[in-house]
Amino acid sequence: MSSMIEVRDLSHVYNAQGQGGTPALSDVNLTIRKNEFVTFLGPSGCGKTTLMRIIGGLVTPTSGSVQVNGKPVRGPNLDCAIVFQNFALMPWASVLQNVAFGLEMRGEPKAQRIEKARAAIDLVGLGGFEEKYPKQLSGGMQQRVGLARALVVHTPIMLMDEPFGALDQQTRRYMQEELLRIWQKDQRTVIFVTHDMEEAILLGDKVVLMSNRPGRIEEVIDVKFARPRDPEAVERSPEFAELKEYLWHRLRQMHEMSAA
Amino acid sequence: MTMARDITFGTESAGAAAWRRLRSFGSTWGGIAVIALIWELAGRIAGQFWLPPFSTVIARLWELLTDGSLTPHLLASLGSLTLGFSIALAIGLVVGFLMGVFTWVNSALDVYVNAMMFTPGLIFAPILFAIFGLGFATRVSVVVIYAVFIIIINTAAAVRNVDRPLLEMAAGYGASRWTALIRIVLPDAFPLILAGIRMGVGRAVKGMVNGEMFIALIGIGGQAARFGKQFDFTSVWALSVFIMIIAVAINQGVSHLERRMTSWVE
Repeated sequence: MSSMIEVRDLSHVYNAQGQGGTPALSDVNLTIRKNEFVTFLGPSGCGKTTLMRIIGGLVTPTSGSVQVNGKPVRGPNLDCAIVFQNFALMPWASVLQNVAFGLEMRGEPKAQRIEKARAAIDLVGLGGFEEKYPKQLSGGMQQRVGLARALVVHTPIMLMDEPFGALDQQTRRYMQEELLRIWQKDQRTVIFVTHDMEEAILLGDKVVLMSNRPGRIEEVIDVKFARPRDPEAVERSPEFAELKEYLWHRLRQMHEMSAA
Repeated sequence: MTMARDITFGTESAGAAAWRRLRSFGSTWGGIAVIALIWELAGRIAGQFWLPPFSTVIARLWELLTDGSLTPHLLASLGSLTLGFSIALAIGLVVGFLMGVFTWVNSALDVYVNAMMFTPGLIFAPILFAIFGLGFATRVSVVVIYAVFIIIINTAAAVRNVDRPLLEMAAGYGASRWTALIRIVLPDAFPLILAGIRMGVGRAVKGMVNGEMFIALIGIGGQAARFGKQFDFTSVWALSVFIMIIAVAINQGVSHLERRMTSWVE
């Protein structure tokens, strides 16, 4: 498998122009292979979202380089589709129009983008809701729209910024299973930012464990559960409990280090 | 006279909703009836020349409307109102938009726009005389001055406070700055801009009447001033009621439009 994303010596400081900006990332090196599902796990303020946004080209790093598909990232990266924590749906547009937005920006003809958007809406289980508006949907359904919008543009990479963080626990669990099911059918490289240990293990092929202030990568942990994953079987397994305990131990260590 | 919406909890049956609407409708018109009654009694009991009873005023208004003497004044008023408001709308949207998008335009103009917002427009009347003379152009300018600043302020605020995550989403999916402006900023700012336009219409009516009363005795305002000089208070009251009715009708019309066009607002 070839490498899809290469992050080299990356550092980022917010408000670098002013005196004493806020360091967000320091000396980050990371390689992500094609069709790998990678979760970024760490305490809040560890720069995991910033790292994701730099890969997506939404933030220009202070120093270092990011290559996607062998090309350096400059400006919004159209090899990536993003799913946002707060859904970022246009409230004035229908489900269909929201899902088709990315296709429209890529200049697809109207008939084609409607057809593709309808298929994506069916894929995330929202068939029949095409003409509804975001405010008529529950949080879980809104994020399904966000997911469909990211899937439909068929980018090699999908960036997910704590996508289920705003949902209640049952909905979150259900969405995790849906995501596994969809990813299994339609594989691509996924970066999934989360602060939920179980979510990070359940979904990821790799957990990138990050620490805060300035954010750095502490460890990259391989998660070797077979695909396709059966979430319940995974969660019952002793390896899952072991891995979770290990992550918890590391996170607590970091917390004590930064508190000291 | 916007119907205040009651706050309701949970779901509401169709019957309860109809009853609530009926009650709101009833209290609006009930309130008007009570005021009319008090006015009528006060007018009859006090017997003051400056407070004719409500029925006399309404009869006089009916007379003014039906004998055709008001029509040319009404047309003159509507002429300056329409032109003045259109100019205010065009300037207000463009300037407000520029102030919202470009920080430097905002820093340059913000102070003046806010100052003008609270300065009575009539204070500029002598200057407007000097520029345009005592005619139509001066009255139109007063309407513009009254209406334009609230439209600028609302438009600028609406554009400046655009939903940042949505802008980021658009950029992430490949929208250019220009596309994001059209597809995200405009619709996102739309409800607040419309609210500014509604307030702008109200202020334009004020500007129109003020201009007519104090600059050139023309239109409805001019008629009111003329009746006042003749101590014909019944007619002054009749015109006041008429202007209020127009103001409420315009406000209701724009509000209705606003609700229909922004039904998606959460």
